[in-house]
Amino acid sequence: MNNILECYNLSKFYSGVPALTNLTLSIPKGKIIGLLGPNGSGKTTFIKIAAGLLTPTTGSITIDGNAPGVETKSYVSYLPERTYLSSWMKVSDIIAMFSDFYPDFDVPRANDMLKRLGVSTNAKLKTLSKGTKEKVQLVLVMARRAQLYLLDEPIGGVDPATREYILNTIITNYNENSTIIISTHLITDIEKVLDEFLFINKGQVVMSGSVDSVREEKGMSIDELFREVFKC
Amino acid sequence: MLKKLLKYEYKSVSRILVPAILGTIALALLTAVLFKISYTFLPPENEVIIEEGVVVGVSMTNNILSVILLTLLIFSIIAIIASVFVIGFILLQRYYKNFFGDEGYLTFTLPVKTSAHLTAKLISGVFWMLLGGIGVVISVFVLVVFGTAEKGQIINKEVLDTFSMLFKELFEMVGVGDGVAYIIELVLLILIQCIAQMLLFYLAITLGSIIAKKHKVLTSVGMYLGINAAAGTIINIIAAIVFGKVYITNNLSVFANSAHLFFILFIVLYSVISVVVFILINDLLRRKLNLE
Repeated sequence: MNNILECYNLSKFYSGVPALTNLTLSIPKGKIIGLLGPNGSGKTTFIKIAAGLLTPTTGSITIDGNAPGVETKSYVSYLPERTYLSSWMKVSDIIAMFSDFYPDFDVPRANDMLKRLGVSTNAKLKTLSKGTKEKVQLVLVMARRAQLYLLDEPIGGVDPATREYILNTIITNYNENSTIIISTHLITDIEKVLDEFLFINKGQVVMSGSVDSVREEKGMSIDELFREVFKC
Repeated sequence: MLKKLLKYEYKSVSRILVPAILGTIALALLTAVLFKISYTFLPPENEVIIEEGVVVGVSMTNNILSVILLTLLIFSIIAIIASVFVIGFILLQRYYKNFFGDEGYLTFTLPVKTSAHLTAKLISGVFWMLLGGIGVVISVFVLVVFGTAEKGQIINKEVLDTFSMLFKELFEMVGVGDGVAYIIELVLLILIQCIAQMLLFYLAITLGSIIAKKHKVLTSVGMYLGINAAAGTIINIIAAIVFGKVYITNNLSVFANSAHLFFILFIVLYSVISVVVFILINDLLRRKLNLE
């Protein structure tokens, strides 16, 4: 199978209000994909269904052939748009926890990344700033050797220098068979690392394709294309 | 996986509950020791008034120690009662936050079955409930048995004698074999009731969090009241049906047998409730989880 993720007629309603409507798409292995769309377009809903935190109203979704469950969670690495760390833990505690539960978690790699970002493993999570917590979470997620990474707004809360480091980490550290789905508004920043893009709006795919072909055929950057497609 | 989950469950809860339980016992111990000292060193007019082994009060003088003693005693009693609430609150808060709060984003993306998550929460909950109960018993025991001992003695023998009398009478009345059986049944009943109670709490929180869009905690409380009333009614109806058929008599051996029936019936009822509620919560977590 060449697709890591497939979904068919996937819909999600929040007390009657649609967030996704009949979303059908497939995502190939070994690509970095930008999931792009305006606020409330269904990006987070889609990622949370894939992570197994939301139950779809109708339709189906499979990740490497399995519906979201214990199996998929062992090879999907998910970065939520919020902080999920327990404040009483130290950075070293949460690292120990990840290595306890995820066999694919690479402790030396995590420690190395934390060191480069200047985060002490002895620090209590309670004392860290919001941005630093986001860095810790990103390190935890990227230090796994997962098949699919689901990154929901990974660079939203960090400074441009860290952004640069994180994006470099993403492109240099992932292996060829794994796939990364990045949802973000900060298109200009991530554009250079993307292979493909998916524009979604109102819970449906509006446009998709490869970043290079947009550049070659339309002579546009994804940011420019986004502004054109989603013109208010 | 269950072992690992339990490890983190323990780490998270114990940092508050161990000090809470030990603190309560320590306060009781301190109170008892100070009472002891006041016996030994205070002049007679400052004596602690004891009636039938129970501290009734301290005869008030201008002596500061008397005031301190009374205050300590009151604090100690409040601490004992509060420790029960603190344990309950911490356990339920842990369940809510770890499953349905932001922490749920990590909890439910761990490659672990929901049944393992629920089992870990249940074992942890029952363990701390029982430990808290033991803490309360120890604290009360320390206050009563050590705190009220007469001058020159370390423990209040009267209280201990009353306890041993009680057991002796029970064994005499029903026979040693039956007496032991009663104690085993009682312990089992307490354990299974703890399990059922914890699961009913968890069910209420799960339903409240899944159904309500807003005011999840308030909905959970409402759910608990409803569920508890429903479970109580079911148990009462079944118990009434079963006991309605039992011959009421003043023959001691027949009565003793029906008391066994009473224990066993409740053990079975609470076991059935526990199994049904466990399956229900697990199903809700597996099929209806929506962390919004």
